[in-house]
This record gives sequence, C-alpha cells and structure tokens, in this order.
Amino acid sequence: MINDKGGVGKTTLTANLGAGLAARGKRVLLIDLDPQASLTVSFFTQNEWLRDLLPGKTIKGWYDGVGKTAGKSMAELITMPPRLTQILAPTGGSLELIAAHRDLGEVDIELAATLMLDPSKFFAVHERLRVGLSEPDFTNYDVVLIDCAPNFGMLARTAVAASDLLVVPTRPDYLSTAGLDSLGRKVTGWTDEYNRRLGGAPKGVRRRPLERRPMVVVFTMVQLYNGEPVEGQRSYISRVPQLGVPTFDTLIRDNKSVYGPAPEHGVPVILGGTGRSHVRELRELVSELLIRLEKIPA
Amino acid sequence: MTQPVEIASLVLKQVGTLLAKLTPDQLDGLLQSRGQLVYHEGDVIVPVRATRSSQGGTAGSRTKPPNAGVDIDAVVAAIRACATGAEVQAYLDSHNRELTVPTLRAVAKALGPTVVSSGNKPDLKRNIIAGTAGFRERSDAMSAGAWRT
Repeated sequence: MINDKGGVGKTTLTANLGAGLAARGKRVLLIDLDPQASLTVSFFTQNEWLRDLLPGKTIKGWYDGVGKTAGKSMAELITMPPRLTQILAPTGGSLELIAAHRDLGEVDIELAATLMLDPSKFFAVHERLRVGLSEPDFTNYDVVLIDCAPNFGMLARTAVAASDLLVVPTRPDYLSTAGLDSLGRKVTGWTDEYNRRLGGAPKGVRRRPLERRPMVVVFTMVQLYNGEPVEGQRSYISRVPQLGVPTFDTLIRDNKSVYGPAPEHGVPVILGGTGRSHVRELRELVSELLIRLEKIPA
Repeated sequence: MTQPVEIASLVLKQVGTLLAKLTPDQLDGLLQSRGQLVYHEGDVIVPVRATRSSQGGTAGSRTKPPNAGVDIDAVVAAIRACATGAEVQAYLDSHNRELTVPTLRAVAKALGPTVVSSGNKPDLKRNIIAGTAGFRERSDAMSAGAWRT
C-alpha cells in the first residue's frame, strides 16, 4: 500500500483490507513501515505499543540487522492484535501484524547512509524485506499487506522490492492524481536502477531482473451525489484510467464519523463498523483485490 | 449641437417608454437574462425573447438553439485531435466568437467525464484544456511515461 502523498487513506485501507481478507478465511500479515505507527495503533492501544512492542517487537529490529551475519528472525516480530482474535475465530482466517517503530525515519536515513558509504550493499539493503518474507515462517500467509510511509524512501523501496502488486490509494483531486505520476516515475526509475546494478552484482550471486511491479489505484475519500461522484471528483476519477493506470471499480467514500473512531476501538470498520454502506463498499474492494491477487503467479 | 448627456437622457426616456409596454413576463425574462434588448438600424428598439432552450420560451417567441451554427461533434473531434494543451487553447481562442458559454458547456459535456462542464467562459475553456490534452501532457511530463506500457 503505497503513495508518497500523505492523507490519502493508506492506513485505513490497509487495516480494512487486511481484516476483510481475514474475514474471508485468509491468513493475513500486516507490516507497518510508517513511523507514525497509525496502522499499529489501529489494532493495539498506545500503551500496548509502548509497553509490549516498542522495546523489541517492531520491524525496526529487522532493518537494524542489515549487513550483520546473525540477527533476529523476522518471524520473532509477529504479534496478534488481541481484539480481533475472537471476531475472526469463526472465519478460519487470521490477522497478524509486525509493528512500526517511531524511529523508522532514522532507519530510512541510516539505510541511505549505508549505501552511500558502501554501494556494494545495494542488494542487501533493498532486498532486506524480501529476504525476511522468504523465511519458512511466512509461507503460511496468504497475503502480506505492507503499509508504507508517505514517501519513496529506502523502506518504501524495500517494500516495492518485496511486493507483487502496488495498491495506490488516491484522492480524486488534482494534487493526488499529480502525485500518481510522480510515484510512477520514482518506482520506474528505481526499478531501472535496480536492474542496471544487476550487472555489477558479485559473481556467484544470481538475481533475476526486477519486473515492473503492477500498480492499481483505489480512489478514496470520494464524495457522492445521487450515487455518483461529484463532478469535480468524477473528472479526476475518469482521467486516471485514460493514462493507462488500472483502477479498482469500487470507490471508497469519505466519512469521518464512520472511519474516525474505528482505530480507537481496535476493530476496523469492515468488521464492526456502523456504516452499512461503507462496509459493503469495503467488502466489494476486498473482492476486487482477491481477483487481482489470484492473477499473480505464486 | 446636442450634448452626449442629453442624448443619453433621451435614449433612456425611450427605453423607459418601451419597457413600460412590456408584459410582466417579458420584464422577468430580461431580469433573469432569458431575454435581451437588441439594437436594430432604424428608430425602434425591439425586445427579443428567451434564447435558452433549457429554460423554455413563451409561445410564439423568437428562439434559436444555444449552439446554432456550431457543429458540436466537429468541435469535439478537433479538440480531441489536439496533442497539447496549447493547441486546445489556440483552437478555442480562434473560435472564441462562436463558442459561447452554452456551446462550450455542450462541448464540455460531449467530451466526456474527464471535463468539468460548469463555470463561466474562462472556466469552461480551462476545464476543456485540463480535461483533454492538458492532463495527458502533464502526466507524461511528470511520470516520464511511467504509465505507458
């Protein structure tokens, strides 16, 4: 889940898609890469995060191990949101999380500095998350959703390298759709750089070129009038597919009274929300995502 | 020689006389911009009734469609053929006279949902540019063709 523009609903969608997939019987892992830790505190209370997770159970622990021979397994960082266990029990699905650390911003800078000092660590840094997710403990998951911070820093690049599909939540307005172009350029530029460097990789290490990651845009914070997006938003919604960018058909509406309180209760709207129509459109989005995921080769 | 102020005073007196002969409906039409006063060579000022088909006209009134003389499909095709926002701008400017606000609105609607079809004339022109070649041009510049497959 990526967009280097902030405030577009990435975290809300990650939480709801994750919970919605779990409710369909999927085994889901969420990874919070945003130092604001909004995804983490959507499932854990601030006190639980500070007391139980920050000392040693955040994704920072995994990135701290870059370049070290022995370190933690990423599986040791997995936690189970307590308030969802009972809700998801009848579904056969599960939702687990690797929490964010508030110092992830510093991790981003340290990783960039590591590469400046020692460019030979390019692949060790960029593939850090992909390597972690290839551990045997992670083969049990059906879906891993990674919530990126609103930038295209080192952590976001590791997320792109580890992903099969980039879901880009976007508001239907000028700045957000302009941000899509900027994101497309950054991802493509980075992919090209990765593949260029493959030629200089150490002998004996075989790596395949990185294919351009498929992207799909989901429009969030949509305002409807008579069941249709208002004209000012409709124009932006209809322009994006014309640029060749795939989009989800489902539009996610704006409603602060529905989405605002959910994180405080630790249960996403899709599992316990009050707005029935909002739950319905979130479920439709889950269905669309499942169809796209099924098309991705295992 | 009659002074301009005196001429204006005489004209206003004539206009006042004319307005006094109009029906309340005709006066309302003028007030709501559904009708207009038109100058003809000669010595009379003739009121012409509503020209906005969407608001309807009174029976027997002289009406003309909002896009009279303008082939909307041809305008749409010409705009779609433009490769850049500047070309769209040049086209709209070169046909400024016939592209009235109602016509521009019809063109904006015919161009599809990428174009916002509300606003005054400058807004509509800007919307048509932004919703056609403008957004593609901007996107290509910003994304460096990242979305092209």
